Amino acid sequence: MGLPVLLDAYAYGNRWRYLNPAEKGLLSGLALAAALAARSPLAAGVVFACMAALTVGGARIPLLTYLRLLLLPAGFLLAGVASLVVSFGGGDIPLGTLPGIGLSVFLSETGLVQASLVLVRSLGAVAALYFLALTTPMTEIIGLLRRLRVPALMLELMVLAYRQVFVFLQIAREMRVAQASRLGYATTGNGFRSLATLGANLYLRAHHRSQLLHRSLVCRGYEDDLRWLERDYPRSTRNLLLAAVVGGGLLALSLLV
Amino acid sequence: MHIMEGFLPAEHALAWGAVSLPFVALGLRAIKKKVRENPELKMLLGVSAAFTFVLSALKLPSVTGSCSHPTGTGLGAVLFGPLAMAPIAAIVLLFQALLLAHGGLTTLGANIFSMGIVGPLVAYGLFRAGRLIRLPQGPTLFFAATLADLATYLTTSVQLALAFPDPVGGFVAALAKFAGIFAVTQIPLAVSEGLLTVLIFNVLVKHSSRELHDLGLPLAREGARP
Repeated sequence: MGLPVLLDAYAYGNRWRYLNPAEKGLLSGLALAAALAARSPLAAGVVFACMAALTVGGARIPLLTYLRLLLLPAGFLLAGVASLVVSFGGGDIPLGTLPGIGLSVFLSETGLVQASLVLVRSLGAVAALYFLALTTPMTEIIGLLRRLRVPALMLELMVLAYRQVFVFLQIAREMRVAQASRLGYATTGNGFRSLATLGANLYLRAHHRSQLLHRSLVCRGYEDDLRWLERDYPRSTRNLLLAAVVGGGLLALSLLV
Repeated sequence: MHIMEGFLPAEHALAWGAVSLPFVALGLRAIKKKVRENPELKMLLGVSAAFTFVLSALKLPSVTGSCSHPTGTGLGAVLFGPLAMAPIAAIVLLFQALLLAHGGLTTLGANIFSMGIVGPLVAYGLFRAGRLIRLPQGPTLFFAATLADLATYLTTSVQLALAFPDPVGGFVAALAKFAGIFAVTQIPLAVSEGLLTVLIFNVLVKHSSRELHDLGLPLAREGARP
């Protein structure tokens, strides 16, 4: 439950916090495109190394935290890559037969080649995503989306949701501690009942909060439009150019190698 | 089940984005229309997106012992309707990518399609159908939520199999592989989520039929509270 708070804290507290979000967004977007466009593991590996180095060295995210975050998608990645490597009923390298079903398992060479590319490509894309997530607060990302012409209603829902996420996380954590200290999670059955009460209560709190929010906004002259100020960031042509050159370079490398 | 960042090739990522976009736009239009009649609904939907996100960050006691996270797809679809779920799911998935490092930006389209469109449609369709033929509410909800999760997981498997067909057996063999490997976590999750959805609903119906009534739901025990 602490993960959203952790990522959010780094987004607000890294060394590159006050760089213009457009620069960071541009770099991250180009790096994502580069990772997806990569046709060789080498190019994708360069994207990964570059973005990881920028996040740890540039934005000063602690290396250990960064490595721990990289482990998060490991489960999906391993299962997904394993499905690419093995094939049943025919392949290049026989591994054995599944007991009981009688299916023979093979490793396929095309599968291995594909799996290694997908593995490194995913890591490269994850590094690009983490760069954005760890350097740029959600409010600035919403500001970027506004400049990309995302509909106002969508942005308003995001702003409302973003604020409440942390309120609800806090409430949920407190309810969970209260339940656990009364042996609410001692058995699986208890766990289900406790979690259901927690969820239902959380929903009621959410519903109640939305009404309070509406009333307080109406008191302040709300007329179907949420308006808010965005922080002014220094516009640095140099940084924008750097982001474009580094991101563009990665993309060019991916398309060529 | 979320497809992680970068796992889908570029063409597939773009194609699924293009498929999901109209649904999100349609959902936004539906929300806009409803908000014009009832301005409070905007707050409720924004806050509900946060609720769904927090629900998905909670650990679920799984029936087999392994831990997983509920998706909230079935609950959301029944509470807010399937159309509104596409934009809400888009927000929740974006937050999950940026705040939980779960899912991704390039796979957002594919994940919206499985969790914000297919899942809610299945859940809502089954729930409405069950109520129509007067099945009891509990089992109907259980099947709606469980099958919505299973439909989501099968959609994800199809998306993966389309992107990575097996060199020997093609699409069908790849589908069997992906569905087989992820079944280990996804089938217990679906059953757990079904149970949880029923339990949450029971508590809600018992204590807050007025709040549910605000959403215009055809539920039993209406007006239990003055």
